[in-house]
Amino acid sequence: MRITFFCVVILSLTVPCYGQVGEYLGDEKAFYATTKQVNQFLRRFNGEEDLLGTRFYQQDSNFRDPGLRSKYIKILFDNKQKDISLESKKQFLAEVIDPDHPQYLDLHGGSWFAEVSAKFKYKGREEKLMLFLRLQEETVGSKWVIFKAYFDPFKEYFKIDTADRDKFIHPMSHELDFMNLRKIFDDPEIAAAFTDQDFQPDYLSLILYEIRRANLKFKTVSQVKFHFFQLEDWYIELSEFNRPGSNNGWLISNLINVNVQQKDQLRKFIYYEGM
Amino acid sequence: MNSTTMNKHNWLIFCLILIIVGAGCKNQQKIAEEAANVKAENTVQAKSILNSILNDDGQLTTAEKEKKLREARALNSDDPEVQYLISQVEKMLDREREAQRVAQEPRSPDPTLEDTLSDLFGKIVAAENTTAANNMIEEGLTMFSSPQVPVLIIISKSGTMKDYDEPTTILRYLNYLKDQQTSPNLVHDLVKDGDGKINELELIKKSNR
Amino acid sequence: MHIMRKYIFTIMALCCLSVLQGQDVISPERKQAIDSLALEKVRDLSRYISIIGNKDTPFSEANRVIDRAEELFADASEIGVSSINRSDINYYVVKEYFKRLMALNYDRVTIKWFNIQYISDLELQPDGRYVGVITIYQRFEGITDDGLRYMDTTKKDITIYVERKQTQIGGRLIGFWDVMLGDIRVTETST
Repeated sequence: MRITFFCVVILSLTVPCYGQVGEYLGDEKAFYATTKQVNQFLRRFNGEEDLLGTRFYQQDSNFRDPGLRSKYIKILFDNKQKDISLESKKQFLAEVIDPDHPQYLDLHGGSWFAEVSAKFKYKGREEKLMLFLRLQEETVGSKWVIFKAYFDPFKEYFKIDTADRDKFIHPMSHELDFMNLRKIFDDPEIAAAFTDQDFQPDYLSLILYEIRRANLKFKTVSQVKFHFFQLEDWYIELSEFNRPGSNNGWLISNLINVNVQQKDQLRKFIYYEGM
Repeated sequence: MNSTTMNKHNWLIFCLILIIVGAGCKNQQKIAEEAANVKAENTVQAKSILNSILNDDGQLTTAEKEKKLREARALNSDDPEVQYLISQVEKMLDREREAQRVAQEPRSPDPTLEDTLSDLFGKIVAAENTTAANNMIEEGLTMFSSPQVPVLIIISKSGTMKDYDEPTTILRYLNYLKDQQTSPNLVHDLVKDGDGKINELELIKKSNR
Repeated sequence: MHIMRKYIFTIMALCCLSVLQGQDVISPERKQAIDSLALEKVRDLSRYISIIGNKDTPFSEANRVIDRAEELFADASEIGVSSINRSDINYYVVKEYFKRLMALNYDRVTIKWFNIQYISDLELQPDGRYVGVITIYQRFEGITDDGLRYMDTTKKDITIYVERKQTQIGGRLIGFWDVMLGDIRVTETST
């Protein structure tokens, strides 16, 4: 199976291309427009490279030129995402290139993270598992670290039936050395009902535990997205597109005008918290 | 799986609350065309610079020519004519530098040996087949103290500071030329042993000469 | 208490200093030379793949070239492949990838480059090495014995590790840039 896939992919998916030798090389137009790396997304957003991808340095005259930034930022949106209004884009552009208060994106600026959709084998089945990674600065250099995770099959363990008012540890239990805990843990399905109202299951710890016990086994990565909360009043979602045409590569797939409080809500939403 | 669908659904609701539906923008094509135009312009400019060097009637010094060559290179044109002109300019500069070096540096490497070596590199690259290339390598190795003679490759030079690629040996380097069928480096310096055989070789990337 | 705070402050200041010292910035000129060197290694790899995939290459030569190609890579490097119809990544250890390529026994393999490449910034990682990514687009073409042509266009994101090293040669201390290829992400493109 793996060998077949290798042949199909490495050697090609070929039948439709048959007989087109020599007709393709030379037309790199679409590739120029494609935002080929997240690095390029950042440099384009900040106006830190020329049209051919050559980097500008601080001493270069075009470094972070507002005109160039404006031109670039306009092409950094997924054109098929109709949820991003023209008005939003205009307002966003005006704010980030505002001469009095220009805003840039910074790889090491914090307040952004990756959402990785991975596949793991769990109890004999392939399951989707979400990992959240952020870039952590070290004494020397930096590295990506996993700081949160979400795994749907674990969700049922923490289900709390809020309608069920009988499930509580009564307020005088302390006088009996909490002997009633026996009844609570007797029924594993209701154990979560006795946690405090702010309780959030720590999926990452559970996942690491299950990986350590060899119950969870990594298979592959399916999708990667980035969430930027670096810009004042704005949230950006960055996704990769691989499709014909030039509106391709790493593009803004979501743009939302949000205040600080909404940013927190949105973060929780992305982390699958409170769901 | 259900939760994923649920999530997607909630997501849409979230977005709908916060944003207004509107139209997208179509500037990619423009950027692509502009990039292509920039490339075309760069090619024209590179040709003009390179021709001005080749047609120079003695007005330009070698250093000025080198500077212009760097400017032309910086335009990153891969146009075959530009590449050809660059190679012509390189040859011109090589000749000029060689003449200057012979005049100024009595301790310069043996020009005959250097030529023979450059010739060998060229022959290996152009060899018809593996066997022919292997024969040339075997013959070429006789110019060296041993197949393990170190080869240093300068990747950039700034004043007296040199940056090197990972050092290799002459046997590996000659095989590299055979495999890659291209010779990206020029002879920069060489050291001979008592028998007149090369026991250390320093090359330099063509782009840094 | 005050003395203690002073000590803590000094320690913190020293930590900050070492952070700054660790984050050495490579000058634009050096970066350009390293980029070219890295790109050359990528081109070398393409050429090695063509040799390995070519049926006319004698077995011993192919094995020698596999060794040379492998030397371009850092230990444990992998090639992760996905197609348009399947975004999941399939993983191949570099050596396995080459061996499979050799076993496919094409009459001829050519790798053509689209004239575009994108080179990222070099980022310092905790072990003191720099890491970057070079993106290239290539068209792979394999022709079988019976004249069938197989082709695909792929985007290749190639990890590049750069490390400053020193070695003794002829009694001199030579500082050099060790440029190694790392994991390669291969995505089939629809262009």
